[in-house]
Amino acid sequence: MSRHQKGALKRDIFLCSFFIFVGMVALVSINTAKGHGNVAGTQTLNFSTLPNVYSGLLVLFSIMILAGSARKLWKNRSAQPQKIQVDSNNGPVASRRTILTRTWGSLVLLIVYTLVLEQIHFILLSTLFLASLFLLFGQRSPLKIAGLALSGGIGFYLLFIVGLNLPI
Amino acid sequence: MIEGIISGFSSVLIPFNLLLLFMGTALGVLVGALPGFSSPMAIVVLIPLTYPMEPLPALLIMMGVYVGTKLGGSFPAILLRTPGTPAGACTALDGYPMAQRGEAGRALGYATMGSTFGGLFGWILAVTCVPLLSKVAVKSSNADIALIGVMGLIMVSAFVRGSTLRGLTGVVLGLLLATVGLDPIDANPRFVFGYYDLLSGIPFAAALVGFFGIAVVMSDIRMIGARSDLVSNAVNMALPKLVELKTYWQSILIGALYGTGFGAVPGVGAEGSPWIAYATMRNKSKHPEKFGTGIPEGILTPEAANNANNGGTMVPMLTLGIPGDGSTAVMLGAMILHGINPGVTLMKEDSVLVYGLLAGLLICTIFMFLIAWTAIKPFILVLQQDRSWLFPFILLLATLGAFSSMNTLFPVWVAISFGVLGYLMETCKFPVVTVVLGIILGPIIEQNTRVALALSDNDWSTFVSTPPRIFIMAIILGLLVWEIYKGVTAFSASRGNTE
Repeated sequence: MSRHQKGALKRDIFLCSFFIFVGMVALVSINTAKGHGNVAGTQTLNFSTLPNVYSGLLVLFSIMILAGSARKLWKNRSAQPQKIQVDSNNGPVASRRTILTRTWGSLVLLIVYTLVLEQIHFILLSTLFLASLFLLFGQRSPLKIAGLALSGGIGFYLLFIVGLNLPI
Repeated sequence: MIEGIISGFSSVLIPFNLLLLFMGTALGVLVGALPGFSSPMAIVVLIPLTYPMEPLPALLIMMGVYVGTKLGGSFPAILLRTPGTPAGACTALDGYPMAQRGEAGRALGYATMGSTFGGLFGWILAVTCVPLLSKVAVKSSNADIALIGVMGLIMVSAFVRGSTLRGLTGVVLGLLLATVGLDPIDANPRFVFGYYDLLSGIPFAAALVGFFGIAVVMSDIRMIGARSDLVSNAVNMALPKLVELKTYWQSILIGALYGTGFGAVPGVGAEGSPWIAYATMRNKSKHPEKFGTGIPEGILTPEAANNANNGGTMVPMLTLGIPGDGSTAVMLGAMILHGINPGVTLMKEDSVLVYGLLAGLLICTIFMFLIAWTAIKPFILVLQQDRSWLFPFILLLATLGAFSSMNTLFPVWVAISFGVLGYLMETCKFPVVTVVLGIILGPIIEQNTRVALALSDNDWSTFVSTPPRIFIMAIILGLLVWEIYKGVTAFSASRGNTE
């Protein structure tokens, strides 16, 4: 089994474990909640019935997928049959490490942007955010980065703050 | 019906709406031409910009994007062998070889004409079926609506790409997420964990932005740096004459029939129908060996299927409130955000909107043809740009769009969370569209199921008490049994291979 396939199975196991956790939390939460009213409830269906059903099914389906993935990983078999690809020009051009850095780096920048959005002036923050992302994604021309980032910051300010009247 | 269609056109044929349709279609062709960008993503980032608009203009611009991306996705498929959208992948089989022979303009011309005729066929079907089906749908009771909703979710899980089990997991996750907030019947709070913001449920616009904006950018970051020097500004569109197209009428008809048929089945979307239509045409052909070498039929058939799909997806969306694919799921979400109640009563409550959208579908198709015919060069210029310049703007637009849904930071955090979830789900081959459909249809299914039981005095046999309900139940059970059978067969086969 290739490293890529093993990685896919491990991600499967991680995600299914997360779904099982969500399902269990939902089951515990809904069954310990107290209902306040019963306006049109039926004897078999009340506010907690369907959430219980959905949580139970989520746990069940996730266990099935997790068991299948764990079994494949254990037996070291191929994860999925290869599908026919139309094009071969669509492969990544950067290393896996660079791609992961850019992916999670952009998420971190987005989180930081959101945390300080209401503290720092919008145009300045948005310009810095855009410029940081351009740099993260590999652009190196200072003039182009500065020009596009500033235009974007001002453009979004005019569109969202002035035009749509967002209270930022 | 005729009066409805006329009223639809009269509400759309005003300068502002025509401008929105044109802009939406042009944006759609542009977005479709960029590999890594999708119609749902473009529609989602448009949603916050449409808040100040009336529902019809807002949905018209989204309709334009939806229609435009189908043709736009064919341009890179033909010129780069890299489809801009999954629906355009089949076009590359004959489009790229034709372009390699120096006939790129001719290939683009066939794609444009195939899309246009397919779109017209799909429109005819939609405008015929929607009013008829609406009359049947409006007589539905609560039990019928609940069953239709469940059937829609099961169909999506069965037909969406990837395994049915993963599709069902996505659906159930969406259904569970839809229960957050106040119970629709008794107003009991569920899963709010003390957060006041969650009382009205998970902000739907933020979830859409997360899934179709942030998650898609995160997934496509790997494409940064992929540029092509093969595309040149010397390419000119060469439209085939109508006399020539007459000889290929079978290709267009087969593509259009498959496109509208599959488009009307929730979950299949536009991805599967071009391939099936292509395979059918190849099998029917006297020279099947020529398919894949760059022949007109190999472009006309999938392109006709692609755009005929638009009309097909309108049928379940406007009559039942069940979206056919990710884009129509987002459009349904946009309807809800604009205060429209999609579902079986939509035609009765707002026929102007329904006929307006149908009129918009035809006008978009015409604009799509005109834009492709006269303005191919700007789109080729776009194909040469690196995504590293575009993705930051998409992220910022998505963030501000999420903020604008509630004017607080809460939906932004929701969007980021769903962005990460959507990214992980797509990486693990869980179709994200099933979660979105679960979120949309969950409240409808729950409310109607509980009311149906309350009205029938807690008698569950109400769900099989009429022939239509028995028929729907048979479809649901049949699909589930079929998928279980396929799963068991595949499992036995894989065990047999290893032993």
